[in-house]
Amino acid sequence: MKEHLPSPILQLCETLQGVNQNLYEQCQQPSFPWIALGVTLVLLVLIGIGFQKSPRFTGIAVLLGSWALAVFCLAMMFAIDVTAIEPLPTDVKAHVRPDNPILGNHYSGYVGGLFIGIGTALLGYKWAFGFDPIKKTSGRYPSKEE
Amino acid sequence: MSVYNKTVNLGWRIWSWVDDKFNRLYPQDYNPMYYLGGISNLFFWFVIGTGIVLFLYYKPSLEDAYHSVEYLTQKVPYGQAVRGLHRYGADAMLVFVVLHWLRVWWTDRYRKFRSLAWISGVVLLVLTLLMGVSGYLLVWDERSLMLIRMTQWMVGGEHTWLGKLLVGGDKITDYTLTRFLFFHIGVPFLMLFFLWMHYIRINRPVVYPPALLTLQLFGIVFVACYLFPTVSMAPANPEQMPQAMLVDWFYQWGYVGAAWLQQFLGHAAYPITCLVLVAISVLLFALPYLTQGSYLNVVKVIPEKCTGCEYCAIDCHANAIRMIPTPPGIKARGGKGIIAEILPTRCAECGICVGACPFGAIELPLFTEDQVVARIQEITARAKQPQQPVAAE
Repeated sequence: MKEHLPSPILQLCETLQGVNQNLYEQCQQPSFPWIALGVTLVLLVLIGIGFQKSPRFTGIAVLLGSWALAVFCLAMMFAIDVTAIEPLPTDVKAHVRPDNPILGNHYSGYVGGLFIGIGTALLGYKWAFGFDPIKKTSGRYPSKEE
Repeated sequence: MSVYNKTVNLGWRIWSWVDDKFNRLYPQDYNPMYYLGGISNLFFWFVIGTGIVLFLYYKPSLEDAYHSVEYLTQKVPYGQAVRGLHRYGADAMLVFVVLHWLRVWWTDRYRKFRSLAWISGVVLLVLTLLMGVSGYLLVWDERSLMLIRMTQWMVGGEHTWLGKLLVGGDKITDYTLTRFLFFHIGVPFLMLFFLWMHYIRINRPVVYPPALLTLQLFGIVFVACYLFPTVSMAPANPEQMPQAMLVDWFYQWGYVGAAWLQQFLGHAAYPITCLVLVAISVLLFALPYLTQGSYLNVVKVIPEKCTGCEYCAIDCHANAIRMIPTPPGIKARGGKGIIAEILPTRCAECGICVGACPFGAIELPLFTEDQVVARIQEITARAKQPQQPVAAE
């Protein structure tokens, strides 16, 4: 189906497929979870400090960052082709069939990224502009009626 | 002060600190620490949903069980992802159930009128663990076999009646997996009953987290499937025990403990671990009664002043007030023909109903109405101040 797409979009899809392959390989490195955990914790601490100092600025930064994450994940879901992913040595070791390395998990990862992106963007919006788009309430803290 | 009180106070300080840190990152109405029970419930339904998909493909026999799981994992579109979501959803459920339990315990919300919620909560915790362990058995790989054997050792051995009851006979057969499947599916139904018990005394239970938190939490579980794909080990061979320790820390810490103790106590480590776990469970059940205290300040209704307006029953968070027909011989104020009645063992002695009653028809024996109103105003004012952990109140 992708063959019918215009050439620049097709090229973008191929680039994203390459990015996914690289991400996949990096994620399967034994040291990856600890590095990711460390980076996440440092980010959370920085965001926490930022919120105290400047809720609007940090809120906008979080809103834009998480929105970018959501858009990236959405693009990946459309662009990647799991049957074209090259299996890693760890796949073979874990009895995963070479023609089907962790089928569907790539989509799962990007769906997860999309969820986190949208959820965090809503949080950033509330911090930045003091309006809760879900509850339709104003203020960075719960209203007095609540 | 007893060691127990010191421990609980330390826990209370830990939770206050955690609440404060999360309140810096989230607005108070989205702080995940205030929704631990709701998040546990959310993952319970999430695990049931993904479990139904897995059930459609599972074949409970020694010959087919492993291959059916492998077929789902390798051949069914997104089967691997659904399996991962089931697994990590269950892990997340356990994490939040344990956090919820520790929070309730350390913030002293388990005694007196909350006893029923605590006891049903302990049952739910035990059932969550059993549901998780039984899920591992169904894959029928080397880990499943090791868990079955270790469980048999815990209940006295393979040839005791409990050991035989576990696998459905002298040896592992197709019936073994059938009963594990029945157990794995039956336990959630049992949990529904205890969830009902868990909520019944709470006036307005928060059973789900806000949508924003739900998105983030589901996102984490989905990403976990990508980072740590769920795969089976080698197929189980009942004639041969695996040499390596293959247990999973999340649900099988009891087994890990027993295996560690084995080097000191030999094979007796398994039944001893089982007894210790049972003893801990019994202690948890008894905890509200061991630290009960007494009901000193249960509110009283002055029937002659009660108009039957129901304000007190609506405001009572513990469901401790019910409206009854006005008993003969009492001349109540209102014309509704009903008055409030207090259920003493459910009363939180909080005085909210005293403040809710516009007619002065309810009183706390040890406080005057003015004192109660002043206290409520003080607490309410503090709760409205930003960035104060109100949950610890």
